[in-house]
Amino acid sequence: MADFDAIVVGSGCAGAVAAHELASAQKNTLVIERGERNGAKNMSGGRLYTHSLAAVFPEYKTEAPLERRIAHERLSFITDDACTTVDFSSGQMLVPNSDSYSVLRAEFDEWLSSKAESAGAEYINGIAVEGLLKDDSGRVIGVRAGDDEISADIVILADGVNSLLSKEAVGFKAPLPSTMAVGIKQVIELPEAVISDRLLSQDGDGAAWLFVGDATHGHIGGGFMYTNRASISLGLVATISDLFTAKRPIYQMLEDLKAHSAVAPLIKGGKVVEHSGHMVPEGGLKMMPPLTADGVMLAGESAMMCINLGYMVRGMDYAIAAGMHAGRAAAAALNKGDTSAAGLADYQKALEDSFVLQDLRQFSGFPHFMESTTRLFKEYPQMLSDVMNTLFVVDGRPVAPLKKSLKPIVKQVGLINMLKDVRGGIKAL
Amino acid sequence: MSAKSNTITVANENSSNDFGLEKGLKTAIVTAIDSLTVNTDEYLALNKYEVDEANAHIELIDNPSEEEFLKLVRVCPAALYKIDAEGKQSFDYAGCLECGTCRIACGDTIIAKWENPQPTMGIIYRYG
Ligand SMILES: Cc1cc2nc3c(=O)[nH]c(=O)nc-3n(C[C@H](O)[C@H](O)[C@H](O)COP(=O)(O)OP(=O)(O)OC[C@H]3O[C@@H](n4cnc5c(N)ncnc54)[C@H](O)[C@@H]3O)c2cc1C
Ligand code: SF4
Repeated sequence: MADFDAIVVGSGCAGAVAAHELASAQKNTLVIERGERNGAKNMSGGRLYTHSLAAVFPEYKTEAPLERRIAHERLSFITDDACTTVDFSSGQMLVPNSDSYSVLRAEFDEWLSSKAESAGAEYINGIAVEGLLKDDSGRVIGVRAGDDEISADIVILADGVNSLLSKEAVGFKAPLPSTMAVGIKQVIELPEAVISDRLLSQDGDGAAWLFVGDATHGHIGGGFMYTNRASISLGLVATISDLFTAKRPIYQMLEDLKAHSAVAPLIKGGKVVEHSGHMVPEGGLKMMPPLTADGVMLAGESAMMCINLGYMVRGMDYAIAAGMHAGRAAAAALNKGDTSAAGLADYQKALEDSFVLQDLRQFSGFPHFMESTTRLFKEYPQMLSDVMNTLFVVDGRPVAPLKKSLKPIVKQVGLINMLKDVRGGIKAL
Repeated sequence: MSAKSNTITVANENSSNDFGLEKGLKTAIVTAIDSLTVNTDEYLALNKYEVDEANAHIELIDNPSEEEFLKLVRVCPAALYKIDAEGKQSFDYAGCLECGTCRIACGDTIIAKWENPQPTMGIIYRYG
């Protein structure tokens, strides 16, 4: 008999939830997390759409360490000295379970894991799983961590974007640098009231703000800002392969963004308390590995379940939902006594029926659109700035007819190119 | 971690924006990366680490190519890959954020080993 019914590798969003579901179904479950505390190794931009959390923990609103409800959506196109912003807020964004909150992962993951633990999951912390145990037929039958070999009827890999195990589990080769982005972030402390004032937010509410253009000095990617209760998360996400030709390293880009006239006043007087880095998968459905093999399943970013649309990064809600479905499917397979790939087929089906794989399918053309529409990051922010300057700058010279002033601006990119890009964008979304 | 001075001070503001790789290595380094105003080591000093002095969890091959190394200079969010004005390369795993970016960027070229740090070692995010 195996040591455990199930072993979950990693206690991030997907792992903790999978373990919670298994333990709640009375399965003897072990979680192995390499961080000494759960969350110690994890970083995200920090905005959690709550719908998938609500499906597992209806009580989350009063229990989870949520920072601020996001009540303002801002998207800015920036050049070195200009910033054109769309600022959106709506009642619909605030409807419970259609809303979203900023989170800080150290605290959030600790809470998630406490839910799994109270449901009965056992934890080993501070040790990384180094390899998988397989039987002669190639079926996964456990894990190797340090000198220990621990067996289980099912192993769930929820070890995140930098999984060193997915190759052994399902033959997934390390992804290409063109399908992955690097994220860099600083947490900048500021008094709670100052943040509310600067972001025009009510108590407890805050903003999400994305910056396209000069944030990455024209490279593919963008800047992000999320308000936490008493700090601001500020960072950048940029496609790794595209940075290979950048004049400035990513950390200098972040420093430049902090000094940009649109950002500097937001963080003025703030104190950097942490500097972090983490990757974001952005290849979408096309880069996804198989989700199961005999005795093993993948949930969350170990299976590249993430979308980066430029104006939105989503991965946590996918990971939570995938963790839920993985845990439930694993429990059902254990009940049937069949944890082969065939016995786990319901997992794939549950994800196909849910927003997880439907969204990833919906956006499967988007990575290509971003990659091939580099004008988004250079020409369009500049064009917007030129148009706005034409509209708003008054210097006493006679004003030319708008049509005449706009013509040379639009001509730089070309009307046809613009139409092509708009069409491409709409198609990809 | 002690804050060290940043060694990537290569700059030639008047040089062209094109890569000069074919013009020889020295020129390549000088033109490939702008001058820096940030000292990332000071930020890393704010992080909490359990540094494993005995084991390097990331290792490079001997004499990595300049071109590949420059990729890492650009993508590592912790600025751990450095090239000084003389073209001398250095890498210090101690401030690693364990993001894996260098593994993805150069895993099949100049990164010889990328492992998770030994038990309980490495970065400990307090915010995340
Ligand atoms: C800069 C940035 C911004 C982002 N912004 C957002 C956002 O605003 N909204 C959003 O929804 N998503 C965002 N994401 C994506 C989001 O962070 C991820 O999609 C999500 O964390 C994935 O969850 P996961 O459970 O799959 O992996 P993780 O949360 O990364 O968990 C993996 C866990 O496995 C552990 N582990 C890894 N290897 C081993 C091993 N060998 N043995 C034991 N344990 C191991 C790790 O320590 C970790 O705890 C962002 C990501 C980045 C980098
Ligand atoms: S893992 Fe990330 S932080 Fe560590 S050396 Fe590689 S790129 Fe830098």
